[in-house]
Amino acid sequence: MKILKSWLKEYADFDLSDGKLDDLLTYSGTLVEEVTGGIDDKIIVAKILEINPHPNAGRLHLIKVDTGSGEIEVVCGAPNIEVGQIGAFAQVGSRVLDFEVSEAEIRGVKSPGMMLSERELGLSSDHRGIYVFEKDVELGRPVAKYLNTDTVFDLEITPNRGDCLSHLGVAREVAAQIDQKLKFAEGEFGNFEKPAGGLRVEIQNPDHCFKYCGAVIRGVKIAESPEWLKQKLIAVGTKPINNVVDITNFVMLDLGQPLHAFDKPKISGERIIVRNASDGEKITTIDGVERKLDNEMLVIADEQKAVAIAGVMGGENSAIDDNTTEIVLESAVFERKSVRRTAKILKLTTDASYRFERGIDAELAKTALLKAAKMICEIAGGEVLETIIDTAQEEKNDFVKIEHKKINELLGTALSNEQIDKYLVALGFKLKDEMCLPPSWRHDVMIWQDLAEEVSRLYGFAQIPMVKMQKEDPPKTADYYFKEALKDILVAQGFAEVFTYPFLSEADIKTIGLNPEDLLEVANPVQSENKFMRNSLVPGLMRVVAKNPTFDPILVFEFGNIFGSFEKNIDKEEPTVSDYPEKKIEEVERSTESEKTKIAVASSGKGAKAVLESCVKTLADKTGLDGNVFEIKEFSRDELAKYKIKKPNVFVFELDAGLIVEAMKKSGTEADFVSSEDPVSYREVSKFPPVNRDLAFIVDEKLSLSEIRDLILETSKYAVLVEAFDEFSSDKFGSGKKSVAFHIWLEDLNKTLSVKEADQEISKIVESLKDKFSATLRS
Amino acid sequence: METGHLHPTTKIIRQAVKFFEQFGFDVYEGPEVDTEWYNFDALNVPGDHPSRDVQDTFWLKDGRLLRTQTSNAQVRYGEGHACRQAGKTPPIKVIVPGVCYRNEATDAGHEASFFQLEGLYIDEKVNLGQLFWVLEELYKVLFGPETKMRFRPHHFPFTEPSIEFEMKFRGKWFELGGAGMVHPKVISNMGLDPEKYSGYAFGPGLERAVMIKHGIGEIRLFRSGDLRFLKQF
Repeated sequence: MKILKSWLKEYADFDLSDGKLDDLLTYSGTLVEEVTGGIDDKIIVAKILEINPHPNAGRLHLIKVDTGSGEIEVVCGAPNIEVGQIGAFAQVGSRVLDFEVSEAEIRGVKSPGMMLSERELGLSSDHRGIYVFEKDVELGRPVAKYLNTDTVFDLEITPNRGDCLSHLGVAREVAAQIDQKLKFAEGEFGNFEKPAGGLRVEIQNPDHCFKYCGAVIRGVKIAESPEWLKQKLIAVGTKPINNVVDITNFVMLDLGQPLHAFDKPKISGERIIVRNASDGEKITTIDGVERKLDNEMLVIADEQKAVAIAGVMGGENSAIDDNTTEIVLESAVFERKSVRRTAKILKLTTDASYRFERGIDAELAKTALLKAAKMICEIAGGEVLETIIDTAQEEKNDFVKIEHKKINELLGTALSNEQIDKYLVALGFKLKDEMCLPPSWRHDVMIWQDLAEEVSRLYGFAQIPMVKMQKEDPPKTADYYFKEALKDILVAQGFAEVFTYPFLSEADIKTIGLNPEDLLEVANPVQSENKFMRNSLVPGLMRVVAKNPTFDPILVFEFGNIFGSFEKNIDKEEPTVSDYPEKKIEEVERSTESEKTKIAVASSGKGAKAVLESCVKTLADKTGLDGNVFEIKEFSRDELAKYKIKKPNVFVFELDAGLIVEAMKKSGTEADFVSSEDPVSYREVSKFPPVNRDLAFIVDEKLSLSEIRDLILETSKYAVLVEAFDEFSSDKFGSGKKSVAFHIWLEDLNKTLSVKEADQEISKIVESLKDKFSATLRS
Repeated sequence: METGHLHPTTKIIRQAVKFFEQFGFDVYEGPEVDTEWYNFDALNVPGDHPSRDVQDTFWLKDGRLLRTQTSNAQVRYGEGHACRQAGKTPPIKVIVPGVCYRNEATDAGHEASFFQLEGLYIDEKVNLGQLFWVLEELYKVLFGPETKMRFRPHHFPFTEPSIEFEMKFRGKWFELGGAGMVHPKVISNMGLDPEKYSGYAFGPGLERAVMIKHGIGEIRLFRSGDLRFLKQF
């Protein structure tokens, strides 16, 4: 929701900078996602003290400016500068248009800031020179104090706060925060209320239409809106169309009430009927699309046809056009769920439906109608002939008990009852004894915990004291601990942990040769890759092998869930329906389980078979699980080709994690892990393939592998990964020497690295190791 | 020669588990395939409410779903806890590291499957100040003692009040996730009396934390199996 600062000021008296307003809204629950326009507070008034030539550029100058708190020298290219001028100075870190000012170096001279033109201040398109103040201003003050520019705040309004989908609504929040009265008088438009005339409203479904306000206006002239109105709409992202439509949009953005204007002669008869559509009834909406309705959808109709889908969009058959002179203006209150259902089924979310779904202020419907009527008369001409206010049902909030003590306990505060009450009153709640009535625009306050939230928002989270938690012995009995202990065993043997995607596509199940009926299937995948759930971890590991052709060997493992229909493990402590007969969990009690945690380990390349066999042996030794349970599968060449694997072999085993965990529990294996963290200086991974090179050196025995690796990384920015694969001492290298060998992966983030470039990098690395560590390359 | 590597997400989960362990928290993983009840209704997210639009759900053909959040474990663990210790009362203290799913097009910042770390603490007189403390301490453990946190009001149907929290790391503010005081309806769905018990819950994403920590710009690397990435950790 885009909010214009000047528009907000029509309702709330505040003198807040953009930054302050941003914080005020954000830290009371209305997140400001973006601030555009306006003048940043870091742009301040400054005076030019000296003008000197730039040493390296004839057309530039170095100017010394007084910023009120000091003097700064910056580069300036404007032709209109004179000593004594007072202008707008953007300090480093300030936001100018869409960029942030940083300390620039311009033709060899540092420039910590800049003087701004009118264009850069957002005042006009004039960029011929710096802006110069003509009035009395104080040096060092924010320029925004003196220049009148507007700012747009783009707000994220949470679904519970439909009342903030208008300028009035956001102004209410601001006013409550700064403890001010709102500048809003509902009676202001009373003159435009006229006695009812010939037009009648017939609400056939009072459960879905609570209120219908209408006005007949004759003598309007459809034209372009005046400039101020167009500018205001454009600023908040709404496209101007014509005066009448623009006014309905304006009032919606202003007060939150969606409005609609019908061309009166296109409505047959003198009755506005609010009724359910008949099944299969069709209407073409103003976007030109024919919509098929069902009998639970609400429409606005005349005696013959539907003329609008209630709360969603008007019909083409009654839309105003350039020749319209007489209109019916509608300001109605439709039930939230009904509008939501219609909009969802028709896949048609509009500004109107969005607001109705979230709940509007029923008490404002008449005011909105009259305000729009007034504006139409003033802007488009015409006069109000008649108005009609038909209330089918009063929408009333319930009183909520103010549990002062409980509110304090929940927040961890010690607020007095008066303070709590004061916050609620500021937000429009009406107090009566220990109870309070939420205002008509709020539909989200039902229980005292909701009041606690209101109080905490106004009190401020920053003021709530943090409370330390007491230490206690951990249970550490979860299977999680056993699984982590297993991971440590695998890592110690050189395996790398991967997480692969839990999904399979149609193509995947063909490659693997699976029957879709054995798989859990997604009903509504947005991406075709996510159609089925995996029933094994193995295909994921195969993909990992295929993806890493420059690694040899590849040793990887994954812990993860697989999906399907499995026999239930009766030992599992899951609640059953018999424990909670009253609950709606009958669907939980199934005879089968749908997921299972598995562990899969794969090896490929040099020595793959031996590594995996040794891994099985270690696992069996350490967990007490019978080694025969591990079935190592070796893939044939044909199978490897299907996965596009070029390596000669892949060996893999997959097991129920539960099985190993049970064995560990039985054998009394310790289940814990360490959480250690080596410093990582992460290097971005290229989309282009890496070049892999191996280097072996003779170095001093005392030199650590990590020291060497760090130097290689430091020497070459193309080195994404450096991995030691060999280290041994031998007399033939001389005493105190050892041989070390590394795999080095080189790559460029923007292209495939050429052989020549890789060679150059390798030479650089060899040179550097020779310089720093007296390392000699082994050929 | 070199040892192998734990996935960076595993590493951050371990750090979090070790932190919460000191305060007596259990670890529970919960199911990834779940019912609408546990993922939505039990958490006070009714079917006709706009807050469901926020989450793009993978529905399975059999009517169940892939959890959109680890919060499905709240009521599952809460009632399981009550069930196991029949007659016994809270405290309930648990963290839930687990895979969640969002049915959306993926890009550098969005994944269809990702990890969350749910935390739940239910007891008599649990308050918002305790939640603020535990979150700040957690992120100090994960990101270093200089880390600063700030909190702002938000809206989630399953917490009241609801908050979002942000962290200042290396001079910049990062949005981390949501939390709040457990909604009385959720406590009630655990089979507990919400007038007697209160609690907090939180559920930040984990990949995002790892990305912030190491300056990683692409979330899809986490499940890519790319060894150039994984072997850096």
